Amino acid sequence: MSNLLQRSEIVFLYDIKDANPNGDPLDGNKPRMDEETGINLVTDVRLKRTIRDYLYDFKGQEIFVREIFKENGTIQSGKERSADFGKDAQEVAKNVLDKCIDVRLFGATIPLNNNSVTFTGPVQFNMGRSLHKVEVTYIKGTGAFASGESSKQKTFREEYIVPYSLIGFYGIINENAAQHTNLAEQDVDLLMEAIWNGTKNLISRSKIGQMPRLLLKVDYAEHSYHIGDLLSGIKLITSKSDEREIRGMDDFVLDFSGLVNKLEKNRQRIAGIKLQVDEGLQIQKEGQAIELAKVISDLGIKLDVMQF
Amino acid sequence: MEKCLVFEVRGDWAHFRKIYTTSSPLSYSIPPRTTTAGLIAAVIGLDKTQYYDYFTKDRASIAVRIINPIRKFRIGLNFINTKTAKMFAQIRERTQVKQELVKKPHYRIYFYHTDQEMYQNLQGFLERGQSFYTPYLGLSEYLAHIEYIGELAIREVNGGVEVPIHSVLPLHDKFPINFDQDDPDQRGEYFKETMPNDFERGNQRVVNEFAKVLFERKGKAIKCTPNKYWQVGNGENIIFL
Repeated sequence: MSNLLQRSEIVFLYDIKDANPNGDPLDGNKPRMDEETGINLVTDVRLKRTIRDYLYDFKGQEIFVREIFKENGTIQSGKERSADFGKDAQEVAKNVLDKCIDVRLFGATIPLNNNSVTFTGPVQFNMGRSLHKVEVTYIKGTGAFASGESSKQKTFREEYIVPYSLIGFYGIINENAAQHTNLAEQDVDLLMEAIWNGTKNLISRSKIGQMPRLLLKVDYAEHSYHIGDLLSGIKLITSKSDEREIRGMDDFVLDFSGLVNKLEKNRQRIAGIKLQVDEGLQIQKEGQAIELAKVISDLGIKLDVMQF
Repeated sequence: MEKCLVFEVRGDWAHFRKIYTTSSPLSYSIPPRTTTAGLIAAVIGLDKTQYYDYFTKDRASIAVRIINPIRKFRIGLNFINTKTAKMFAQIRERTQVKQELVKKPHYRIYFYHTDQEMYQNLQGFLERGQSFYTPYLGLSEYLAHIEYIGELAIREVNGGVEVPIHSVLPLHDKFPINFDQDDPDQRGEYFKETMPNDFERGNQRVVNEFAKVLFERKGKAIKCTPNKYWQVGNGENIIFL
């Protein structure tokens, strides 16, 4: 049984510099863009992959939806793994939930012979979106090798990057759905750590410029209630004439007026807030620079500062 | 029926998969009646395998109005290739698909249920701003926000005269629709989609009725002469799906 008794909402901001936050496999691996508005998009599954990889690589957690990274014998064979999860649907479902943190968090559809088991995940994220218009730059370079045996010159390589993008994710943890997957409080703690540290530790060529900047978790005292749409309470303000010219945290201020107002209106229904903020992030409310932790405490809401 | 519950549902994205598309998932422009039933079931906390019988057409009345113009967007996704991946838990094979999404979806829903307990249960959740399970628009990653408008008076009207209908228009029976291009009010972009509308009895996840649904892309009222329609307290005219 799950020991999770409260609903939570999550807001996560991270940024990326001169890299590709999430390529579109059907568009030359170009960063995903809403061409109509110039907003950079990151799928929920990209963030979930980040979380899964961190929990598997750094926290020794079992992950159901997993790719083979290396084939040096350190990972069980397919047959052994299959036997681990059981023979019939009931047994597989039980064992997968017992062992795999990602299924407890995000749910899964587990295909079996002529059958499948589906769990809806208690933790759901919306598609991430940049808080400002983003430019996509095309860069070309020379590769180290030739394309074929008879070639005399090296090949060219090409890729798309974004010079800068501040991306916001919004998510909900549902305490009722948590009962179906046995999600536990300590799973949620690991989730929070994985969002922050996983984003930071995703050291691949295309993600090296990523940094987590703000993680906010609102825990509710009232059952089945959440404010909703928290991310829309954060607005980016820049003095640049074109948002596409933003290149770093010095180029903008985040206005939290909407979010703070929502928290204030609902403070009786909030059990507490967990927060981690990067010091470089400039936050304001109604034109005044604020320290977010202090503002939340001043509302009379219990605040825990997370430090990952 | 003298009153109905009115609420709005919106989000960043929605994907109401057309049932005949699998690996190239296309989306209906509006949530079909069956999807809306699932959304309501989520709010009041009915299990996803248990709600079908509660929302058959003889018990539940559902109408939908388009608030934000329908705009679609396609996104390329990396899916697991379950045809070639031997072990699902250890994936190597991928397949790329394009998924069609509705952008900035925003709809107004009108709901009535013959079971007063069910009706009041939903009303309570809406009034308190609560939802038992997390509401979403078609797929769990497209989170939805629900806003309660209120309980409004509703009156059945026998048609025969031309009126503007504000909800999407199910074409269950034949009646005249005014597409007069000379009338500037009637110029618009009209679409018709065929979508699931009712469940098989016996708590089965099986569709037993499809409806042809007509709508104007920007959510304009459609002038027509229906055989009967419903007048809502806020001045809107609707037809239940």
